[in-house]
Amino acid sequence: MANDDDQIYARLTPIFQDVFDNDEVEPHPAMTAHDVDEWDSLSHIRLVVAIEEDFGVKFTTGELSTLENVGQLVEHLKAKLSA
Amino acid sequence: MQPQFGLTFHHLGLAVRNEESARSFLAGMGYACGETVFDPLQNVHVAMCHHPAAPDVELISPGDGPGPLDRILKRDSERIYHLCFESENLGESLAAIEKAGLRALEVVPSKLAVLFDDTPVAFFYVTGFGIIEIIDLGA
Repeated sequence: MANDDDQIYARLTPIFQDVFDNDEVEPHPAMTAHDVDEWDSLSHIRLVVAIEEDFGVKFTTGELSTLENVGQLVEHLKAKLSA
Repeated sequence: MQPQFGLTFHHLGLAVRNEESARSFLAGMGYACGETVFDPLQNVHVAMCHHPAAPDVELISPGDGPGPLDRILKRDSERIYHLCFESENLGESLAAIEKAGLRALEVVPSKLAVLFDDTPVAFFYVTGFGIIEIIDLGA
């Protein structure tokens, strides 16, 4: 599982860096919007859409409203990828 | 004919750091801009500019401290960043957008807008299109 996580985070990193236009952003499980200056409500939506397109999944509005950190996002992502 | 999504165009939203030059330009284009008011719920200053034969333009400039324009104005000093529409039934409009295979993801939940006599407005990101503001006339 750790390997799966590593692969997902490696794939998420360029997405985060592109959306936030910041090459220093490195997503990690405890990361929240408070940790990234560029992370506002609009960039949050752009991030979700970019992840959906890259991974070929769709998040529901309910899922999006309950996400508290990147770790939870990855857990939802893993569940969708294994479904 | 009633639009498929039940949305009627209302105005273009122009974000500016300082509205003075934008007001002057719009005046030269035949626009008449109303009084600037402060919207405390969005922390922005807003003014609506009308033209007899062109789309209305809303001037939006930041208030003090963090606000919704921070990122938009970080790269550009000014930018048209949203299109605004009116809906008689927001839920039905959103459902119609989804039914058409599009997604309208909520960016800013519904808030009363001082510029529109405290009518609720909400902002959505339509994938592949951009930001839309919807004035919820049915609320």
